[in-house]
Amino acid sequence: MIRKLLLLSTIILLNSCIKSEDYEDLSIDINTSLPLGDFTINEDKLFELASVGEGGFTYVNDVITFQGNSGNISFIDSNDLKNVLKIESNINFSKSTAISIPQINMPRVTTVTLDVAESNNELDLELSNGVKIDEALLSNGVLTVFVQPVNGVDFSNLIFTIDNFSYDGVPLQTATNSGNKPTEISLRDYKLAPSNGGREVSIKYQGSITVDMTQVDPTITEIPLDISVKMVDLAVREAKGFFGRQEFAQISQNVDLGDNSSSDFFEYIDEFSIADPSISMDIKTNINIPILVRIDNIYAISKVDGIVSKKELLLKDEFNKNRFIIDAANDEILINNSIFDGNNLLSSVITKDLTGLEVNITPIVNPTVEQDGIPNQSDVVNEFNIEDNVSGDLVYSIPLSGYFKNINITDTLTMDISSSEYDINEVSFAILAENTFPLDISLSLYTLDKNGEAIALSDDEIMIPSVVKNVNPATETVMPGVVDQQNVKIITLDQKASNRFVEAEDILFKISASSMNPENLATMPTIKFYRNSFLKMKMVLGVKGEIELE
Amino acid sequence: MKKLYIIIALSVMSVLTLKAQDYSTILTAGDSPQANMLNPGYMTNSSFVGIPLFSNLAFKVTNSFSLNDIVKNKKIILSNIPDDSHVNLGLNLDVINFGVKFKEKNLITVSTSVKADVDIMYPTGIFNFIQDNSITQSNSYDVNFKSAATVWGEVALGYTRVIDDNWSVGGKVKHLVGVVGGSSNKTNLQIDKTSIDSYTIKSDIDVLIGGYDINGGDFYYDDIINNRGWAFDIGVHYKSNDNRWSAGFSVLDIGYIKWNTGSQIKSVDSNKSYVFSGFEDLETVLDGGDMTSAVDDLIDSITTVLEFDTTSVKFKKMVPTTIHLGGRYDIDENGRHSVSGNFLAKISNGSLYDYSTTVGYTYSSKSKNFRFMGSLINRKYDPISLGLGILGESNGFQFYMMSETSMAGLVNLANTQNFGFRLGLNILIGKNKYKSKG
Repeated sequence: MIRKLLLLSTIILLNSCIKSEDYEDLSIDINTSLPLGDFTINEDKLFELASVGEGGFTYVNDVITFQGNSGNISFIDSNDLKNVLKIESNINFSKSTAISIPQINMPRVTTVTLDVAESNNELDLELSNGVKIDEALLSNGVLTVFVQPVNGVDFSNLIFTIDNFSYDGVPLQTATNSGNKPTEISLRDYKLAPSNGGREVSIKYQGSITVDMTQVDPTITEIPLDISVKMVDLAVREAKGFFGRQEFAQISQNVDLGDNSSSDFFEYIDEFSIADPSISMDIKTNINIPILVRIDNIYAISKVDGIVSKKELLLKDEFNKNRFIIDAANDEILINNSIFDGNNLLSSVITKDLTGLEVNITPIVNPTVEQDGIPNQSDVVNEFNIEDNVSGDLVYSIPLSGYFKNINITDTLTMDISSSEYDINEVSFAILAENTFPLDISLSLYTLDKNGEAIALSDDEIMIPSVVKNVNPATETVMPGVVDQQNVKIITLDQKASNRFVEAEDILFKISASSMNPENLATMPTIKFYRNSFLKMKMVLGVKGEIELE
Repeated sequence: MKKLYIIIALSVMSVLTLKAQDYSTILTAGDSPQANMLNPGYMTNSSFVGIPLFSNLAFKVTNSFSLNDIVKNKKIILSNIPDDSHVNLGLNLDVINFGVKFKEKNLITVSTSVKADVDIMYPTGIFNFIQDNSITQSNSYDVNFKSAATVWGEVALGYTRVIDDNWSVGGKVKHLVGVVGGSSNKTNLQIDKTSIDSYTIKSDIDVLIGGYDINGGDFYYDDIINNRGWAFDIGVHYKSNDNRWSAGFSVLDIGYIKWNTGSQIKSVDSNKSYVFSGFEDLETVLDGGDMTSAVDDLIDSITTVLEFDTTSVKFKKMVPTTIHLGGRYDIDENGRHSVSGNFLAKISNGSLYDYSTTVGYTYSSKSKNFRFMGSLINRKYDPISLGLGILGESNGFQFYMMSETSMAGLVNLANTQNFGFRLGLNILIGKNKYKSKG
C-alpha cells in the first residue's frame, strides 16, 4: 500500500509540474485608443515658434500687429517757445524836454513848484511783422525810470504811469528818482497788455517839480527834463496773441526694425506683402498754436548681405498730404501708403531685408498758405505757457494684413515612449482640428532620425481648412469654428512608420499655410490675422500591438 | 512511527506540490475534531486539544478561470475571461481549540480563530477597453468590480449532544470581532466612447467599509473591539445502528458583525459624469513632462467631478455562511474502505457565490491509525477537482493534511482554478482504540 501511495504521489508530483517556459514572456494583445488632449497654436504660440519674443506684437483694431516705438521725441520745447515770441529783452525809452519857469511878476521866493502836464509817449515793442501780443505774463524784467538830475530841482512828484503793465489789475505807476538814484521796479508777474494792435506800450508822466531858486541860476528860464525809461531782461512766462510763422530745426528720427520681432516672423514666410503698414506720430501738445509737422523725407534702410542701402520713398508733393496740422484735437499723424507717390508705397519696402526707416520732420508754428500751403492762421489766437511743449513718438505698425505665401512653421515635441516592454504593430491618429486663422493650414508629421533629419511618418497631408476668412472674431456674435466633421482626419501608419513613431524621441509638426488662391495666384486675396485666432488640434492615439508582461 | 513519518513527508511533498486544500475532504476522513467544526452535530470519539496555531490551518483560493483558459500561445486573451468572474480567497487559523467529552454523550468545545474571506470580481469591461477599442470604434464598457471581504476573529463555545444511538445534534455560539470588512452594494463604472475624441465616465458606486479609514489609509487596529457581532452554527448528525451509514447537515456562521469603527460609505451620484478628452496640458505631458503627475491630475479631476463622498456610518454585515449536507458509507464491515458524498454552499453578501459537490473515498489502515482520503469535487467554477488527504494517529497525537486542486491542474497546473490546503495537529485524550466490528 505504501508503494502505491508513493507511486501516486510521484505521478501527481510529476504531472502537476507546470511547464514554466510556456508561461514566460507572456504578452497581451492591445487594440485601444486614448484621447491625448488638445494642442493649440494661437498667436502667442505661433510667434513663439517663429522666435518672436513675448510681447513682440500687439493688436490694432483687433488685427495682430508688429509695432515698434522710437521713444519720446521733443518737437518744440521751452527754448523754442522763447523764440516763438521774439520780444526784445531790453527796451529803452528816453525823452528830453524842458519845463519853463514863469518870469513875469514872479516874486523872488526861495522855492517854486512847476506843474508838468500829462505826456503820453508810445514805445514800440519792435515785434516782427504781423506779430501781436494780446496779453503776456512776465517771468522776469526790471523797469528803470530815471530823470537826469538838475541842481536845485526836485523831481520826486513827477509820476510815471504805464497802463500796459499791471499787477493784480493795478496799472504800473511810480514816482521818479530822488536825487541821482534811478527808480527800479521788478516786472516779474506783471501782465503786459500792449496797445496799438498789441505792438506798443504807452509811457505816461505828469505831476510837478520843485525848484529851489536859491540854487539855480537866476537867469534860467526853464528846467531841462531828460527822461530815460528802460525795460531790461524781459522774459515771458505766458503769452497770448499771434506770434507769426516760425520754422524750427529739422528732426531726423530713425525707426529701427533691425532686430525686431516682425523680421523674425517674416523669415518663416517665402513671400508676403503687408497691405497697410503705417508710421504713426502720436504728438502731444499743450500749446495753443497751430503747428505744422512737415514730413520732409522718408528713407527705407535695408541690409542685404551685410550691405546697407538707403532708398528715399517719394512723397506726394502736395500740401496737406505730407504736412499735418496738429493741435489738441488732432494729435496723431498717420504715415501710410496714401502719402507716397506711385509705386513707392510704404508696403513696398516692408520686406525681410528692411532694417529701419528714417523720417525727417520739420515742425512749424503758424504755417502760411504761401509757404506751407496751409490757409493763413493770422486770426487764430496763439497762446502758450513757457513750460508747454510739443513732443511725441513715432510708432511703426505692421499689421498682419496682406497676402502671405508659404508660412512654414515647425514645432517639435519631445516624447519618449519607446520601450522594450511592448511591441506596437500599428499606430493610428485621429486629428480633429479647428482653424480660425484666415488661411487653410496643412499639417505633416515627421520623426527625427539619428542625424536629426526629418522623415515623414505618412504621405498623408492633413489639410485643415479655415473656418473663417477675414472675419473679426471680436465682432462675431457667434464664434465660428465648431469642429466640422470634415476637419477630422485619421491617419494609420504602416508598421515601419509605427515602429519609427514608437521609437522616436522627437515628433515634428510641420505647419504650412498660404493665403494665396491656389487656383489663381494672381488674385492674391488679402487676409487679416485677427486677435484670438487659433489652430486647435485634438489628438487621439490608437495603438495595436502587444505588451510583454514581466 | 518511522513509516508514518515517511508517509507524512511524502504526503507533504505531494500536498505542497499540489498546492491544494480541501474543506470537503475533511468530511470524508471520519473521526476528527475538525469534523465537529464543520458539523457541530458530530460527536467526536474523544476529548481533544488542538495544538495552538496548528490545529486547523487552512488556506483556499478559487478562481473563475484557469491560467490556460486565458493564455494561448504565450498570449493572454483577456476576452476569454467570462463576465461575472471572481477570485475568492479564504483563510482559517485556529489559535485555541479544545473539546471536552463527558459522560459519552456530551461534548463541549471552545475555540478561538481568525478567519478571512475575500471575494473580488474581475472588472472585465476594462479588458474590453484594452483589447477591443480601436480608434474608430464606438463602444460602451461596463466596469463592474463588485467585491466583498471580511477578516474577523471569533471565540466559539459549542455543545454536542448524543440523542440516541443514531442521532446527535450540536450548536455553537460565536462572538465575532471584525478586523476589516467591506462590501460593494453598487460598483457600476461605465465608460462610454461618445465620440472619437472623448470618453464619458459614469459611476454609481456604493461601498461599505469597516475597520479601515479610507481617507487616512489606516486600519483601526486599536478600536476593532468595537466591531462586534454574533454568529452561531447548528448541525445534526445521523449514524446507522451498524455504524456503516452516517449523514449530517449543518449551517455554519449564521450571524453578523456590526461595524462601528471607521465604517464608511463612498457613494457617487449616478447622474454625474466626467468627460475625458485628453490630458489638460498635453504639450507639457508629451514634451518631457511627468506622465505620472498628469495621470494623478486626471484621477483628481475625475474624483472631483464624480464626488466620492465619504460618510461615516454604522452598518451590519453578515459573515459568509456555509451550508453543508453530507453522508458516508463504510463499504466493508471493518470500515477500512468508505465512500462519502458532501455538498457545501457558501453564501456571501446575499448571494450564492461558491458551492461544491464532493464524492470521496477513504482508506483506513487496519488499526485505523492511518487514513488516506481521496475525493472528486465539482465546484461552481471548476468542473472536477481532486482532493487528497492523509490522517495519522499515534500515541494520542493526530495529524492530518488535506489538499484540493483542479483535476485539470494535475495534468497541468495552469489548468487549476482552485487550490488550497488544510492541516492540523490534535491531541486526542481518552480515545478508545479502534475495535474491529468483526
